Amino acid sequence: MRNIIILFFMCFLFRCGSDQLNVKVVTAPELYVNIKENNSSSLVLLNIWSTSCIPCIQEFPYIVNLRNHYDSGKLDIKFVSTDWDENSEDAENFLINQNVTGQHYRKKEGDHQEFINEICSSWSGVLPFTGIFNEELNLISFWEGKKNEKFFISKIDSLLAIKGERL
Amino acid sequence: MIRILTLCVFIYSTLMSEEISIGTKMPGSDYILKNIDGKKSELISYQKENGLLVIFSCNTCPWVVRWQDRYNPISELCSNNEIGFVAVNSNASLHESVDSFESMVEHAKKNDYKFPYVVDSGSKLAKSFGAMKTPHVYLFNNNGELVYSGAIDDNPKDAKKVKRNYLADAINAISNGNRVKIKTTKALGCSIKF
Repeated sequence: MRNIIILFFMCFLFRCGSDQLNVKVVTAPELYVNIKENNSSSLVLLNIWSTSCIPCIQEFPYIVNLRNHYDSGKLDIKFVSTDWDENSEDAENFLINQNVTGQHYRKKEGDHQEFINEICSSWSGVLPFTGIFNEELNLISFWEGKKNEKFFISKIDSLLAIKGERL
Repeated sequence: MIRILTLCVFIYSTLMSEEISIGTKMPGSDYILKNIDGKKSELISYQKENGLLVIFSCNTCPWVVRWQDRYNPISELCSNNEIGFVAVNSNASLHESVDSFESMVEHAKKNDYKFPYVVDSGSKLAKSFGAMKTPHVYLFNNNGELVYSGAIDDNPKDAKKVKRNYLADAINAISNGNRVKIKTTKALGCSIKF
């Protein structure tokens, strides 16, 4: 009985945890390791943004809405903020206001170039940046700049179709 | 159908040109750009004996705001080394609002800009360079060939904590007749609003 109560309590904690927002400060290699360890989706969409980037803020709700189009087995969405340490609270408040939950990330302050190249060597550094990765976390598609919801859906649908997933 | 596709490719290629690579001759050198003092001049007129530095900038991008405390020292370094310096505002879609000519004049005054800050109407120059973001610098040598492209240095947040002065190193190299060691770099920045 005691074990059942502990198990129930652990499940409750885990459920609460996944419903809460957690922002981890990471380098690019730490980001990959962290996502890979916890990934169970066919595709992972990584959006790199900043509270000071207007196009990022404008496209943000489109990405959040993708949760209504795809179940978590098909698509996982991870946000990586590039806000500086002094703006970390603004970044977290923005995520909360957008009803973002679960594990997300903020870039550790430091070399931009290393970060950019480790995410995608063809990325110029323009924000927002969106990359779509497969289960092994290989980058299979990416783009720079703001896009609309239709673009995101069409891109994800086509990538899922290539993987033979039912839409 | 083929006509529509051709048209789409044409429109896309007109809007988005590929970024110029190292060694490329300065594009748009005859483009006439209006400076904040009201004078209109060709881009080439800013070139000096040892070259020209073109920096795509704007009034509001947070990365520009962080880096712009280095603009005056760089313009001074350029001046001391007979290299021209011009900051270009290519945010055409914001030229009626936050990046208007009047706002540029005000911004330059507030930040004590000691160099030309010109309007790139219709983002023509940015498109010819294939420039995508602000701030982004392009350094040309005395033959008008691109010798360095990318970031000013490796720390937008704090000039005192800079470890690698990419641009200053490139300026010093071409002024002394040496080869630029690091020719391209990357940094996070704001997209140019075409």
